[in-house]
Order: sequence, then C-alpha cells, then structure tokens
Amino acid sequence: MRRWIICMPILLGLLTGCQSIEDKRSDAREAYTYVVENNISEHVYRDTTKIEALEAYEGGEKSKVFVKDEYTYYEEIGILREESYADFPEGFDDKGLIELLGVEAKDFLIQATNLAEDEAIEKVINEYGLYAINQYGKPMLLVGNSSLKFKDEALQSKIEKICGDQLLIATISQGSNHQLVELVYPSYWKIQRYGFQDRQTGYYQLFMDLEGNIEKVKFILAYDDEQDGTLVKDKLTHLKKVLEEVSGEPLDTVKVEEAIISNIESKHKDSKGVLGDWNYTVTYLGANDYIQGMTVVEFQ
Amino acid sequence: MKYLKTLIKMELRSVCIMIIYFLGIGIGCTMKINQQIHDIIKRTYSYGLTGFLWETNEIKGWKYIFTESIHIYIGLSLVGLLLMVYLSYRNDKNHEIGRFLKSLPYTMKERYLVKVGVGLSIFTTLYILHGIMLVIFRESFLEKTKDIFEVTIFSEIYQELFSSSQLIQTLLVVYVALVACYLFMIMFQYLVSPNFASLIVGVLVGLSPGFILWNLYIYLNPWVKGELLYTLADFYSVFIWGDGNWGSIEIKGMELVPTSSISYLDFIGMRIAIFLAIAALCFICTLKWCQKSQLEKADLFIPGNIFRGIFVLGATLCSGMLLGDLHYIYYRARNWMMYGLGIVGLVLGSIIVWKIAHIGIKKSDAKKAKEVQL
Amino acid sequence: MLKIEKVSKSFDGSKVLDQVSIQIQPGTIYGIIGENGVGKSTLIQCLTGVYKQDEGTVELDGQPIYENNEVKLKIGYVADRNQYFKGYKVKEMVELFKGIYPKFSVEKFNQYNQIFELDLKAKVKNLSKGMQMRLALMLNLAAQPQVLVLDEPTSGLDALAKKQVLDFIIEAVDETGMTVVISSHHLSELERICDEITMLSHGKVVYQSSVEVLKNKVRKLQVVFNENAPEDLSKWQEVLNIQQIGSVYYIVTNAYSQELEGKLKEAGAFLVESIGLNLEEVFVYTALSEKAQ
Repeated sequence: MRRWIICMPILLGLLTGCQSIEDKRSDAREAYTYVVENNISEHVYRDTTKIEALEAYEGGEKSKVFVKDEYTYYEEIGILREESYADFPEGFDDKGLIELLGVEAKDFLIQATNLAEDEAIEKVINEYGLYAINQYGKPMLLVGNSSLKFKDEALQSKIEKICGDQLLIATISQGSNHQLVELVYPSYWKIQRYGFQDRQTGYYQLFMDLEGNIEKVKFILAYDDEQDGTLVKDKLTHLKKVLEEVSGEPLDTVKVEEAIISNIESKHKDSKGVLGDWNYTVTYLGANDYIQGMTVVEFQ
Repeated sequence: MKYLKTLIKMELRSVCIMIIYFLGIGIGCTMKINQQIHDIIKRTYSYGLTGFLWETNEIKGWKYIFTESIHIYIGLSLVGLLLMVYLSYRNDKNHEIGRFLKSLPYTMKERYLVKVGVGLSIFTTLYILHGIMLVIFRESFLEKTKDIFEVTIFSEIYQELFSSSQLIQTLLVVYVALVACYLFMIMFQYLVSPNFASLIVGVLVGLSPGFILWNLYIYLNPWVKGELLYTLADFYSVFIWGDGNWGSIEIKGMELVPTSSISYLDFIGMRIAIFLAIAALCFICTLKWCQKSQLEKADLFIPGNIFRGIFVLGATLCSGMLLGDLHYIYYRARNWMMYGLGIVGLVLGSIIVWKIAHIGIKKSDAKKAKEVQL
Repeated sequence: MLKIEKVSKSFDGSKVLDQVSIQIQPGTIYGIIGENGVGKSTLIQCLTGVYKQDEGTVELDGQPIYENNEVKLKIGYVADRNQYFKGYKVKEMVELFKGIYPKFSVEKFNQYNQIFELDLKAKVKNLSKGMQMRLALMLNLAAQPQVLVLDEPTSGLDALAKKQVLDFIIEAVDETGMTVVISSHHLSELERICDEITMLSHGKVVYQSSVEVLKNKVRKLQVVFNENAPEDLSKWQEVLNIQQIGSVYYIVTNAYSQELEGKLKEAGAFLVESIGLNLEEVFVYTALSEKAQ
C-alpha cells in the first residue's frame, strides 16, 4: 500500500509534468524560429534579353551546348546568381555569331580561330562574356551573359565601369546593411562547369553598403600550382584598372603585384601592405577540388 | 588531506595515461573543426558566395560542424571514461594487489573518494580546456565568416545562431551528463565484481530504461493507450539524448519558406538538474556501498543480494523484449509470433541470466576447499 | 596486545573459522600452524584488516582493526604472494611505503638491502617469488610496525634466504619489541623462533600454548607390556596414536603426565619411557588423530 502511495504521485507528476513540458517545448521551438527578410528583388532585376537570344541561337553547323543556371534555392535566400552560357566544344560558326554578338566581336572571333595549342583569350563584348581556347588542336568557345542588373542606375553604371571589357556580374547578395557583388572573368565559368583548369582565372568580390559605397574588395586568383607567377600577368594588369576604378584615383600596384607573384611562387609567403588608402593582405589558400592553387588578395 | 597525498599519487599513476587520451581527443575534435572551417572557407573562395551555402540547409550544416564535434567528443569521452574506470579499479580487482591495497591504512571510503576526485579532476581540467578551445574556434569562425554573413539575409541572426553562450550551455549539459555516466559506471564497480564485466553490465543497465520504455510502447500499444507510453519514451529520449529539437529559419514575404532547420538544446536547466541528480544519487549510493564491499566476496559475480534480484528481473525482461523486437524490426508487425518470441525470450533469458547472476555462489565442495585455503 | 575474540568467518556457507580466540602478548613471536585449508590465511587476513570477520572481534590495543587507519598504520603485512603494482620499480615501492607509513625508514631499508641485494631499479613484476617476498619483508620491517604479520614468509626461499629472514625477524623483535605473528608449514623454523603457537584444525583451535608446554604435553611413550596391551588402549582419551613394533608399543599422547604413566603401569606396562617429539611430529600426530576422528 505504501509503495502505491509513493509511486502514484510520482507517476502523476510525471504525466502532468510531461504535459506542461510539451507546452514548454513548443515555446522553445518558437524561440528558435527565426524570420528573416529577402528584399533583394527591390534592388536588383534580371534582364534576360541577351540570354534568350543566346539560347535561341542555333549555332549553324557546329554543335552548341546551352547551360542555364537554375539555382532557385539561392534566389529564395536572397542570392541572385548568374551562370548561363552557350558552349561550343566542337568549334563555332563565326559568321553566325557576329550577328548575335555584334561586329565588335569580329576581331575576337578571328583571333579565337587562330589560337596556338593551349592558348586562350577572353573578353566581354556587348555584355557577352567570351572565352576561347585551342584545345586538342581545335578552337572551343564559351559565350556567357549575366542578366543581373541593379535598379539603381548610378550603381549599375558604376559596376559596369569596374567590369569594363573583362568582367561580368555573377552574383549579387544583400544583407540588412551590406551587399556583395561578385564579378567574374568568363574563364571562371568554364572552370566551374568543366572542372579543369588550363589557365589562370579569377573573380572579384565587392563588399558595399546598401548605398553602393565600396568598403572592401577581394580578388581571388585561381591557377595551376605548377606554373610560375609570370603567367598571371594579364590578370594582375587588370587588377590595377579595377582598383583605380573603385578608388577613383591612379594607383601604383607594382608592390601588390610582386607580392602576389611571390605568394604564388613560394606558395606560403603571405604578406601585407598599403596601397593608397587601402590596406591589403595576400593569402595563399592552396588547392581545392579541381582548382590547383588559390591566392586571395583583400583590400580594405 | 596530507596523508592522502600518497594515495592520490598512487591513483593518479593508475590513470595518468588518460590525460594523454582526453587531451588527444580534445585537440583532435577542435582541429577537426578548424580543418572543416578552413575547407569550407576554401570552397567559398573556389565557388564564390554560393560555395558557402553549397547545399540546402547549410546553416544547419555550419552549426553541425560544432555539434558533430561535440557528438564525437561525447562518444570518445564515454569510451575514455570507461577506460578510466577500468584502469582505476584494475588493481583493486586483482586478488593479490587488492589484498595488498586492503591492508594499507586507507579506508574504502577514502579510496573511493580519491578515485573519483582524481578521475573527475583529470576529466574536468581537460574538458574545460576543450571547451575553451571550442569557444575560441567559434569566435574565430565568426570572425572569418562575418564578411559573408553580413551580405546575406542571415545578417541579423547569425550572431545569435552561433552565439558562444549557447555553445557554453551545451557544453555544460554535456559535462554534467558525462560526469553522471562516470559516477554511474563507478557505482557498478561495487555492484559487480569482475572489472570488465562491471563495465559491460553498467553500460547495458544504462541503456535499458530507454530500451524498456520503447518496447513497452511496442508491446502494450494495442491495449494500453499508446500516447502515454509514447510520451514517456519520447520524454526519456529527449532528455537523455537531447536531439530531435528543430527550430527553423524562415523567409518573410515568400509565404514563410523554411530555408534551414536549426537543431537546439532546450530545457538546459532541467537537463542539468536531472543529470546532477543522477550523479549525486550514484555518488551517495556508492559512498555507502563501498564501505560494505568486501574483498572476500570478489568471487561472486554480483555480491549484493538486492542488486542480484534487480539484475535478474531486469535482464530477463530485456531478453524477452529483445527476441520479440527482432521479429518486429524485420516484419514490422505485431502478431502472435512477436509475443510468442517474447515469451520464449523471457524463459530462455531467465535461465541464462539466473546462471550469470549466481556465478560464484554454490560451487562444488572441492573448489570451496581450494579457495578457502587462500 | 593483539586480541582475537571468538572470531568466525564463512565463505559460501562453509565455515572457515569457528569461534577462534587468541591473545598475543606484545613483543612475542606467535606461530599459527595447521594443515592446508584450515583457515590460517583467513585468520591472518582478518588480523590485518583485509577480511572482515562474520562474528567476534579482532582488536589491537582495544581498537578494532578492520577499516581503521590508525590501527593499520601499526600493522605490517607480508602475504604469501606479494604482488605489487605492475610497472612500479623497487625504489618506487620504497617511496610509496615512505609516503604511507610515517615511521618508514629508508636507511633501515637500505641496511636490509645490503643483505638481500635487490636492484632498486628493477621492476617488481620481474622479480622472482622469493625476491618479492624479500622485498615485502624489507618494506614492512623498514616501516617499523608495532605488529608484523607474515603468511608463509619462507616458502619459495632457499636455505640461506630462509635463515636470513628468520634472523631478521628475531633481530627486529629484539631491537624494537615488535610483535610478530607468523604462519608457516615449515614447523622446524617456527619451533626455533616462536614463543607461542596456535594449531588450527577445521577452523577451530586445537592447541594454544607455548612451544615448550606443547612439547611437554604431546609426547611419544615407548611402552612394553607384561602381557597383551589393553584392548581399549586406542580409545583412551589421552592417546593420539599407537604403533606396535614387536612387543614394543609406541604411544603418542597429547596429555602426558605422571598419572598417565601410572595408568599404563596399572594396565600391565612394565616399561614406560618418554621420547620427545619435535613440533612437526606433534603436528602430524595431531592431524592424523583429527582425521581418524
């Protein structure tokens, strides 16, 4: 009898406790439910005219592979990304393409058909990112476009100036007080898609406030680890233009370039310095997946 | 206290290798986190911002780096604590060394307190070190990823999601739970004679409440209200295992699309209180029992009559449930076969468990005479 | 004084010690003898606080021994098999004992070790049984206990080592007035050093007295009868054992007295001569008599 008198209250306590605990569990679940806002569509839109034209282009007698970025998950979480391009792995009909890309692309396409083995060129012409390489004795071409544009025309214009004829907007993302724009070289998309690297490529990350004031620039350079730093010369030359465009004043980037080359060649020699109003750091990151070497230069 | 110095040195020497073990797993787990963070930072640079949020629910993935490390640490710590208990009692359970120890001018109570004190000191010191390293790495992670989070929709919540206070609370709960396990296993050194067997019995007894609760639900559900049994079993698993709580991050303006589920540990205070109570109960019971433990009963598998009875009952019940379980798991059906196997399990189990529990009792006369001369 | 009062101890329902009572005076060497399995080691382990007696009391100077640190500090115990911690070296055992026993003297240990010559750097587990025994003895003697309890200390030792051990014990008792309790199968050794002994049989005390008194009580009589010996001679209470060689009867008695001699003469004995027995013979005849009963 005494055992029941002791056990029953414990059991009842357990049961009622379970019930009130269940309520508390619901409260805790609510406390760990976070609501965030995705307002990027108020600031950024997509102009898909050129992509649609690219997709519609038949390519003549040469085969065309059209790749469209379908990363809708990223759209849900406020990251707009673009990686749509047409790939011509078996060669390309340069006459047909000139109609699509514009006459300004003519010289590029002629140059593309005359490339030596393993030689590559890239350029942005009429908002199309062109990347051509001679691989296995035949010229291959990638034509990409970014539909992403800022609604703020001044900001859009600023970004376009920074891009010049080398870069395209690949990604835009916004937080509550800051935003990020990623500008890529056309060759960057090829590596992302095909997973091999035949020359140096890279991209830029511009960290801005919501008004478009650039607070930080990161330059990510990807390369073949066995090559020496001299082969990234063209990217380093362009770095000067980008930085000058961002800061609005001429800059002597020789020391930065030397630091980057030294970092690539030594593989571990990280360094710091000052460039105008910027403090910069050069960091070696090594290989990842199919990228054989990476160096990140941060300007703040 | 001064006169215990030699005893403390003696006990420390028995388990000093565990210092290296706990240090090793602490460093290993935190280095793992460091490596994972480094790899993801590299991936982020390889693929751009979307490399950071590579798969859906990446925030869960990021948090998982830390919780996974804690899970691994818990698992390895449990193994380490079992090992520490084994090493601590290895000499005591040896017939001749145990006899020598018993002849020394230390009471059983003093020896027990010193063992527990030394063990907990080693574990606590290295756990605190591990905790500090985790907090440092957490802060380092936030520092490295601040740029990225600030430019995403998670910019207002990431500090809270990865707050060190949550981590510290989790570590505190884990610590108290591990201490409770340690004291629980030590208690079994006094309930079961053989050193290694006591660890096995302790582990099985520790796992048995959950096993029994879940099986009561499976077996009795058709007749007894399932919700009650399910609630009890769920209550037990939530408090003991701590997993299975999922919050979420939702996006306003898109019909609240859940974009990431976040695991969390709730009822921190209650969990700590429950584990502290278990630890205190084990400590106090063992303090009482250790004074009654006798070297001359070392041949008995279970020296105490009351625990022997509980062991026989509990193990018989579990063996019955186990056999029926095997059928249920395979066929997913509650039928006469399951209950029949349960009964067969009960009968067979009772015979085997009885024999095990009575090892050392009623040996042959010839063996008795031989042992008496010792 | 060491006092064991009506101590009983059972294992698995089998009584190993049955109402054993012993009083050991300070400064004496006390022997405990008996067949294998009579409870000698059990008694010794109750004496040293290793086992807890089921009934009765075991006290030193009025204080119980079991789970009593203060009393255990005064007791040294050398077991029949002395396994110490694996991995400890001899010098580490010395340090251990030094830390445990306040009276432990490293100088004394070193003095003893000059005779036994154990390598201080040797690991205890690598020592032979005899060496372990010597180590245990040295450690416990160096701890200068009030009571030293030894369980089969000379088993496994060569003749020289045995002599050394026994000489040590005698010297220690002489120097410090230590009380020694010793159990052994080598009764000739006990005979040499013990002041008093207790003989156990089936857990009970059979004899308890000084060696001299015991040897006076248990004697062999060489008897020749005029005619035949009495038929009930073997059933006499005082008779432990009878052997007949020709007309001579060899009668072992555990209660030798003039009255017994008179009784034999009345029964027809014309020659009664007493022959002394050593302790071993006393033990053997007693054990045989117990078995016959």
